[in-house]
Amino acid sequence: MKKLRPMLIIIIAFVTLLTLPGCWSAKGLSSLAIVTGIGIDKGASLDQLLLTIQIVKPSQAQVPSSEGGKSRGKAFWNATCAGETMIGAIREVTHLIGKEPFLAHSNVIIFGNDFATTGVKKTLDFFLRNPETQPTALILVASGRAGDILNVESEAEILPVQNIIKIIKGAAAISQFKVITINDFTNNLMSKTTAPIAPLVTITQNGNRQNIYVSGLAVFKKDKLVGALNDMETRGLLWTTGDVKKGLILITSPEDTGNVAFEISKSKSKVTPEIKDGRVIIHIEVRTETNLVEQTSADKIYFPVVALLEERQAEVIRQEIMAAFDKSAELSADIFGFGDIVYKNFPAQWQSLEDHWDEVYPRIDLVLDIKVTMRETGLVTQPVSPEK
Amino acid sequence: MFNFIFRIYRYLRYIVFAPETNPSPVSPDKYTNNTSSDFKQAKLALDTLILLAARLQALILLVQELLQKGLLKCEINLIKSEIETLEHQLSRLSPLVISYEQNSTGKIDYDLISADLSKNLEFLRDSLKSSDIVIREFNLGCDKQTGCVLLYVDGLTDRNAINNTVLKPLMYDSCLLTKENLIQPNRMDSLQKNLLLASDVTRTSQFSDLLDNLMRGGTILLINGAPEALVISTTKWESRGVEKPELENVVRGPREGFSESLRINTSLLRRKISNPNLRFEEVKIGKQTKTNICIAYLANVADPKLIIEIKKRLSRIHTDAILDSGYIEAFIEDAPYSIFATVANSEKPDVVAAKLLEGRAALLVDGSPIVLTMPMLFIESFQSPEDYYVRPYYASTLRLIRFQAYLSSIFSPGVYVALISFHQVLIPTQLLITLAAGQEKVPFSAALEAFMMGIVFEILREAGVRLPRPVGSAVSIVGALVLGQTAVSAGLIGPIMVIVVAITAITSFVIPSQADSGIILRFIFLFSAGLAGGFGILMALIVILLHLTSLRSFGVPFFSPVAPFSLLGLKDVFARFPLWIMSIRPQVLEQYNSVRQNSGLRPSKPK
Repeated sequence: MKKLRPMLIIIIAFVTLLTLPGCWSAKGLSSLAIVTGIGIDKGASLDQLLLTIQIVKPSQAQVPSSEGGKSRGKAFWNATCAGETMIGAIREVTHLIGKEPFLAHSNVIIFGNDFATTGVKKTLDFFLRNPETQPTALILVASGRAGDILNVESEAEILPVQNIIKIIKGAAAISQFKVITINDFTNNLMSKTTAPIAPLVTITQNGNRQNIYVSGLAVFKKDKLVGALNDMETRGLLWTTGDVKKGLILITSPEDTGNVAFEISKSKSKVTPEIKDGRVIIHIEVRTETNLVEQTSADKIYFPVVALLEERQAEVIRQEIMAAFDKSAELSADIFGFGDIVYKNFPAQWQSLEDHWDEVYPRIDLVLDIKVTMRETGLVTQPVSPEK
Repeated sequence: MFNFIFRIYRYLRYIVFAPETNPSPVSPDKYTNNTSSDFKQAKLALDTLILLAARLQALILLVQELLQKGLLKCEINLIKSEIETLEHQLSRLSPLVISYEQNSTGKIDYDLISADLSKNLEFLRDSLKSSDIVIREFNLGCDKQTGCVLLYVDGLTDRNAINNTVLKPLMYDSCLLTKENLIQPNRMDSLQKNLLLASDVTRTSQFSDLLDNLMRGGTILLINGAPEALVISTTKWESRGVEKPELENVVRGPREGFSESLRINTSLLRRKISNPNLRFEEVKIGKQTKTNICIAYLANVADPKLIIEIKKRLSRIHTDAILDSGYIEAFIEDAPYSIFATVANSEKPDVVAAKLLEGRAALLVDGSPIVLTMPMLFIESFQSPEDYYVRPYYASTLRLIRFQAYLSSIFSPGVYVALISFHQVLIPTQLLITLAAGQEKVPFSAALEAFMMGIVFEILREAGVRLPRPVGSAVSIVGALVLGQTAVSAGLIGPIMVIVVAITAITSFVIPSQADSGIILRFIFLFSAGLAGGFGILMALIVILLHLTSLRSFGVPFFSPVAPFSLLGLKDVFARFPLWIMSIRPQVLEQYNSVRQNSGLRPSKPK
C-alpha cells in the first residue's frame, strides 16, 4: 500500500486535471456553423433584437481547383432571428440548421443605425462574457440597417464579412476612420467621460452593383449614437490621438497657381492638460513629417518656400483638429478622451469638474502647437513646364 | 545478496550431493588413473571453495547477529564490500563455476582428455554425431606407429591450410624427428615447436575446451599417448564483405559498414583507432549458441566502472541463444519497460569509433552487423555522423531541422486533431473554412480519422520493408493512390489529413534511431489530443518528459546535457560547434581523462 500511494496520488491528480478544466468535450468541425459576422438591428418591439448572422457554407466557400469558372452558389447564408437577448436570438439558429453557431470567428459586429440610437449597452455584455467571442472583433456602425451591409456581395471576396475586414484593415492607413475593436469600444464606454466611437459603414450604389464604403466615425454619447464625424473631422481626431499613419494633405502652391499634395509619413502627438483659473486648457502638440508627392502648378519648389509650405500644411492640420473639436463640442461628446487626461493629471481638481464635464467640455481652450517637416520632394527638382 | 547466497548454496549442494543423486554420463573414475595434476587441481579448487564457504558462513552469521541487534544499517557498507570480495573470489574459481553456471543440466563438464587415443576417439565419436565433422586418422613418424587423429568442421575451416600446414608436415616431415622425441611426454610441445606450420596453435587438456574450439573452426590434433590436444587455428568461412550500411547513409564520410563477422568488425575498428589502448575483451554467451561477444573500449579513456558494470550485466545473462545484438540489448538495458532505448546502436565503424573516443564502450556480437554502444544519451539520436564531417553552419542547420522533424513526426497528428476538434478558435478563419469544407463529407471524428490513417501508413511502411523490391513499388503506387486521392474523393478522410499523414510519414524517417519510440509517442499524443485537446497533449508531454529525465543509461542521465544541464555539453546539442572548440569530451561520460585536444586550435592567418 505504501508503495502504491504515490501512484494513486498521480492517478487521482490526472483524473482531476482531466475532468476539472472543462475542456473535455470535443466539437466536430462538421457540427459547427462558422459565424463570420453579426449584424444587430432593432426588432419589432423596443426590447427585441433582430440579429443577422452570417454563416459560412464551407463547401461553397472553398475555391474550386478543377472546376474552374463553374458558377457557384452563394458561399454564405444570412440567418435572421429575433430574441430578447443575444444568446436567445443566436440559439434560434440551431433550430434552423441543426448546427451550433461557432462565434470564435465572428470578426465583425455591425450595429444598425436604429439600434445604435437606442443604445448598444445591452448587447456588449454577451460579447465580453462569452468565451468564444473575440475581444478583437471589429465594431462598425451602419448608416442604415446592419443586415443590409452583410448582404452586400463583393467581386473580390467570397464572403461579405471578409470584404469588410479587408477594406477596414487596408484603408485604415489613409486615416479616414479608426479601427475600433470590442475592447476599445467598451473601454471608452466604461470611462465616465470619454465618448465611444466606431467607424461608419455605408452602402454606395454603383450602377447595378452595391459597394461597401467605410468612412467617418459614429459618435456615441454613453451608449447611444448621437452623431457622426465626416472625413475631415475624423482626421482631426486622429491627429490628436496620434493615430494618423498615412494620408494626403492638400494645400495651394506657393504662388497660388495650383495645388500641392503631401503624403504624411510620420506623425506624433502629445496632449498635456492645464487648469488655470478654473478653466481647462489643453495643449496639443503635433509633430508631422510629410513628403511632397505631386503638384499641379509649375511653381518652383526651392528652399525659401519650404517654410511656407510647411506652415500651410500645419494650417490644414489646425483646421481639421478644430473642426473635430467643434463638432464634438456641439454633440458635447468627449471623443478625444480629454476628461480622462485631466483626471490623470489633476485628480484633485477633477472632483469638481466631473459632475458637470458636459458643460465644461465645449468651453475647453485648445492650444495647438503644430509643426510639419517636409522631408522629401520626390525624384524631380524642376517642375514640369516649358523653359522660361 | 539473497541471490548471491542462493547461488553459492546451490553450487555447494551440488558439490556435496550431486555425484550420488545424479551421476554424470561419463563417470569421473574413468580417468582416475591419469596424472596426479588432475587431483592437485581438483584439491586446489575444493580448498578454495571451502575457504569461500567458511567466509560466507562467517558473513551470514555476522548479518544474523547484526539483524538481532538491529544494527544492520550501520554496517551495510562493510557487508556490501564483503559480498563484493566473495563474488570476486567465486569468479576466480572458474572454470569450475563457469562450467557449472553455463550448463543447463547443472553438470560440471570436467572431462579430461585421456592418454589413450582409442578412448578419446570413442568419446568424441559418441558426442560428435554430425555429418559436417571430419575425423581423419593417420600415423605419425617414420615408422608410422604413433596414431593421430585430426578433427575439424567442414565449412568452417580452410582445407588447403590444413593440408599444407598440418597434414603435410605431420605425415612427411615427421620423419625428421627422432623416435625419442616422439615418445617423450612433452612431445606435444615438440610437435608444436618443431613441426606445425600454423601460426596460432594452443594446447588444451579438457574436452569441453576442445569441443568449443572445434565448433569455432579450429582443427584438433590428438596423439596417442598424450593426454592433451593441439588446437590449430585454421578458421575460414564464407561471410559478407564490408559493404555500404543500409540505414546510416552519408553523403560525406566513410561508407563502410560492419558485417556479420566479428573479426572483420574488430578489424574495422582497429583500423580507425590504431592504438594499443583499444581493447577487445571477448566473452561467450548463450548456452546453446556460445556466441562470441566482444566488449570494445579505450582503456585510457573509458571509465573503468563502466566496463565493470557492462561485464557484470553480461555475466548475468544465462540464456539459450544470442542471435543478434538485439538479444544482448534486451538483457542489459536499464529501462526494459520504457519505450525509449537506453542502448544505442550503429552499423558504421566511424560512428562507433567516435563513441569509443568519447569514453563509451561498444559491444560487438558475432553474427550481427549492428554494434551496440553505451551509455546512450537521448541527444545521440539527433547527431548524425555527417554532422562532424561537414562545416559547422550546415551541420547546425541540419540538426535544428532534425529536431523540427522529430517534433512534427510525433506531434502533427495530435496537434491537428486538437486544433480541429477543440481549438477551432486558433485556426485562421480562411483556413478554418477550408478545413470545414474538407471535413463536411467525412463521417468520422478527427481523432478516429487520424488513427485510421496512422495505422494504414504503418501497414504500408511495414509492407514496403518486407516485400521484395519489384512488388514494393506496386504497393507504394497503390498506397499513394488509395491514400492520397481515392480516400479523399470517396469522403473517407479529409484532404488535410492526407497532408498531416504525409508530413508525419516523411519526418518519421529523419530520425531513424527514434523511429520505434516515435510511433508509440505519435499514438499517445493522438489519443490524448482526441481525449482532451491541447491540454491532453500537454499532459502527455509532461509525463513523457518526466519519464525521459528519470531514465539512466549505465549510470548516465539519459537526457543530459539538457537535464541535468551542462553548459559545456551544449556545444554539441542544438548546434554543432567547430571541432576546434570542442576540446573536452562530454563530461557526463568522462571524468578523469576529459581533455580531447589542446585549446587554441582555431586556424588563423600565418604570421
